[in-house]
Amino acid sequence: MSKKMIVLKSSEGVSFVVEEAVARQSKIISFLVEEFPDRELPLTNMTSEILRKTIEYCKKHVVEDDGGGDSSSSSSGDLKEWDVKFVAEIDQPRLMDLLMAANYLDIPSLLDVTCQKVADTIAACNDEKEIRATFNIENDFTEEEVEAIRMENQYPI
Amino acid sequence: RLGSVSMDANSGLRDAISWLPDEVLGKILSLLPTKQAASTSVLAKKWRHVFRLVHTLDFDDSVLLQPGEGKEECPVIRESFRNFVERTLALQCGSPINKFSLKFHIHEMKEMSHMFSWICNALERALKSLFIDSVVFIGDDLCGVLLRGFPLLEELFVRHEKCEGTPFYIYNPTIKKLSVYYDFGLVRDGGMSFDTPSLVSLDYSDYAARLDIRYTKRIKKLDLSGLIIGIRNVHTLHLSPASTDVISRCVEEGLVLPMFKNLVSLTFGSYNERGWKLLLDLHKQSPKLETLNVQGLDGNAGDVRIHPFQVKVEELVKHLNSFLG
Repeated sequence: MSKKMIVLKSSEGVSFVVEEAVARQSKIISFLVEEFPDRELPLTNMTSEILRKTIEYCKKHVVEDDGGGDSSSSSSGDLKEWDVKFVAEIDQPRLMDLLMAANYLDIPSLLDVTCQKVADTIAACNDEKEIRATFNIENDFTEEEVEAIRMENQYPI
Repeated sequence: RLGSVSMDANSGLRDAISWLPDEVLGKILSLLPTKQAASTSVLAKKWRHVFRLVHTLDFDDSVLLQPGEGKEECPVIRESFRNFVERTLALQCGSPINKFSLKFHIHEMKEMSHMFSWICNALERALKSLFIDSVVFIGDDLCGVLLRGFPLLEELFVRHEKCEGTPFYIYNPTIKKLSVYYDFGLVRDGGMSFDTPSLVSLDYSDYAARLDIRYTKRIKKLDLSGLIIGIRNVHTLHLSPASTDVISRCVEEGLVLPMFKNLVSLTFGSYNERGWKLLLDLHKQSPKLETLNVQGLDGNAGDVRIHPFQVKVEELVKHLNSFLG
C-alpha cells in the first residue's frame, strides 16, 4: 500500500513532498488537505528553513496506525529527550520563528516544546535587563515608570 | 497573522516575542513561577498587562525565606506576599485558570481566612488542578466546604512536611488524579481514607498506611494496579485480611507488585492460603522491611493458632514456607 503524499511550498517557492500522515499533525494542513485534495499547499509565510525544521519535527512525532507493532518506534521518554535536543540546537531567532510556525499551523505539541524553551530562557535570566537583551525588547519606560509599576505590584523581595 | 513568520535580514535583532498573540504569551508566562511572570510587566509598555493572561498560578511563601533564615517571620514581608496574591487574583478579573498552586505556612488565624478566599477564588474560575503545600485546614473545610461547591476539580495535590496537616479523609466525586504526601512522623489512629469514585491515578506517601479495601461482588474484573503503585512509597503498611484477599486475587490475575523501597514495617493479616502467598511476594519486593506483625491466623486452619507477634522476616518466611509446604 503506497502512502499518500502531499506537497507543501515554502515562501521561497521550494516544494516539500511529505507523507500526508506527517503533515496532518498540523490541524490547519489537515483541514486544507480535506478542502483541497491533490493540490499543492502554499505556505507563503514560512521560509524553507523553518518549514524543513517543522517537517523534521512532524516526521519524528508521526504515529502511524496502519503498520501494527513497529509503527511508532520511539517510546515517549525517547521522544521527550529528542524534543529537548531538537529545541536546544536552535538559536533564539529561529526558535521564535518555529514557535510562530507551530502556532500558525496549529501543531500543539510543537507549540508546547517551543513555548517551554522560551519560558526556560526567560527563567534563566537574572533580571529584566537580561530578558530585554536576550529577546531584543526595547525598553520604552522611563525609570520613574518602572519604579511606579514595581511599587504598584509590591513584589515580595 | 500572515507575514509574521517570514524572516528579514536582521532577524537576529528583531523583537519577535513581544508580537506573539496573547494566548501564546499567556501560555509562555504560565510556564514560569508566578512571581517571575509578574516581573515581565516592567519589560516594556507592550508587556504592561501581559502578565494577567497567565492561566497557571503558583504562589510560594517559602521563597520569602531566602536568603536569611527566619525572614518569613517578618510581618511586613508576609503582608506583601498576601498583597501580591490578592492583587494577582484581582488583576485577572475572574478569567479561567487551569492550575492553582499555593504553598503557604499559616502563622496566625487571620491568614486562614485569606487563604480560604484565595482558594475559593481559584475554584470559582473553573479550576482543574489544585496544589496545596503546608496549607492547614480546620476540620472538614477542604473537602466538605471548599471542594463540595466546585465539582470541576480533576486533580488534587496535598503535601505536608514536618508539621501535622489535614485532611485525613478525602472525598470528592470528580477528582481523577490525587497525590497526597504527608511526612510528619506520626501514626494516626484513624488512618487516611479516600472516597473518590472517579479516581484514575493515586500517588500516596505517608508515614503509615493502613489499608482496608473491600469490594462488592458486582465488580467482575478488579484493577488495583493504580492503587498499589500509589502506595508503594509507604514506610508502614497495615493490610487487613480483607485487603490481602483482594490484592492476592489481583496478583493471581496478573497484577505485578512494585518495589516497596521504603517499607520498614508491615502489619499483615490473612484468612486464606493465597493471602499468605502474597506475604512472600511482598517480602521479596520490600528490601528495607524490618518488622512484620502477623495478625489473625485464626481463619487459616483450625488447629494453627499464632497470636500477633513480632519476628524477623526471614525466620517467619522460613516458618511460613514449611507451613505452606
